[in-house]
Amino acid sequence: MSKISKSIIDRIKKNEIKPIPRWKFVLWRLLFWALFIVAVLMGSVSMGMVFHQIFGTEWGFIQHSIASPFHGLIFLSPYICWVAILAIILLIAYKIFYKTDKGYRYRPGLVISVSVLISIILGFGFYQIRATQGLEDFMRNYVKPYGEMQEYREEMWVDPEDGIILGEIIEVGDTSFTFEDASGGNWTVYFDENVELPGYHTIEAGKQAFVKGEMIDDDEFNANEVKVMGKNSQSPFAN
Amino acid sequence: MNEDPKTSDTKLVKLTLKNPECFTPLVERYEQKLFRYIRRLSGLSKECAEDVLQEVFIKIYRNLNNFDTSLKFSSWAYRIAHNETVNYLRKHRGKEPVSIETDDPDTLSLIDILESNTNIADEAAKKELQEKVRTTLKQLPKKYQEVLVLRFLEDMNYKEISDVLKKPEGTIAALLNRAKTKFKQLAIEHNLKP
Repeated sequence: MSKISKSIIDRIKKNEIKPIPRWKFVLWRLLFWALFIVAVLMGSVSMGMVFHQIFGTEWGFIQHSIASPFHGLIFLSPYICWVAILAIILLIAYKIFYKTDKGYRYRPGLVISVSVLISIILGFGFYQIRATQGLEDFMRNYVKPYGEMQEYREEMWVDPEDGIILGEIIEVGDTSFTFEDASGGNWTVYFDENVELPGYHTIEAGKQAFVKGEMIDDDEFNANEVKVMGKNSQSPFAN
Repeated sequence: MNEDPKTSDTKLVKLTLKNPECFTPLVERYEQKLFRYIRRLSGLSKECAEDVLQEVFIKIYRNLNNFDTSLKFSSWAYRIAHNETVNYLRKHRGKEPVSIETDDPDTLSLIDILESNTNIADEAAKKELQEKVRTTLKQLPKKYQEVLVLRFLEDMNYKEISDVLKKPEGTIAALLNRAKTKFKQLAIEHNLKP
């Protein structure tokens, strides 16, 4: 036996060094896989939120209503927010995958592509079962900056002096309806038979609508166009 | 211990888990190889390299239950040696001169990279060449040094290097290619070519 071999064996015996039990390694591996699965699921939820924003937006309306690059940026903020969260989660998922036994054998591009694909499939599933709506409500109510960002985004569309108000139809009469805008302001909105109603939705109490026209008094508005949101829409963008 | 020299590493690992005495042939089988590798990778003195080697074998012993039999034991042992050496250097940064150890004769296999026809029979020329190889290697970034040492001094294939360094085989191939190109460029600058 060589000097160094003897020294190593003596040290093992003297210090009573024992191999770490197998179950600890098994547990460790399971932990990493569990973390990886959790990360991919979280990525899928983020992707679901991106779908929620994309499919919940009335793009035709938005196209006509973005007044400036700043408005555009504000409008895009939730998309940017969820895509950024998705990117961070997928990066974490890759780092966790790399720590698994054979994770290092796969190229980062491949691992991230597969993770994105899984996120798209599961995310679409989450969107379809409307799980993303619950998360949106939760975020608005409990994550203050997110709620404020969404509110600001909606209030951006209340600019009566510029001829636009967004809000909810309260009560409908023959030639007017009462309206509460997204900032809490109350209006009487007048319309006639020439008013445009794009989207084939009729003016009904309880529906969200976007009104274009002219402010005639502090609480009165003449409508040229009333865009009533679809059955499931409560605003031009997902909320 | 009178182990059959042909007993496979994997079998020795299993035997060691039942009887710690069986660890001795594994240590004896790898001590020289790992010792050389540690020195080549770090340029540590003999004493420091021996300390690192001890830690490597203790770590191997403690982690025997984590040995994945789909890997070669040697790749796994080299990985532990690599990590331990890197950790040692990190802890002792600035305290040890770090240079690639190239004194042993098989170091000259690196010169194959140059596809040179240099006649190294002459002892003085050989020494001078070794010194130049050492200087050239020292100038390469660590990631290139690592792959060159594993490929040309430890004679490993891409898969083995991939398992030691925990990088995809494609990345290893690309690294090796860049390392060879860099080494050749530096070799020309150091007049390593005849």
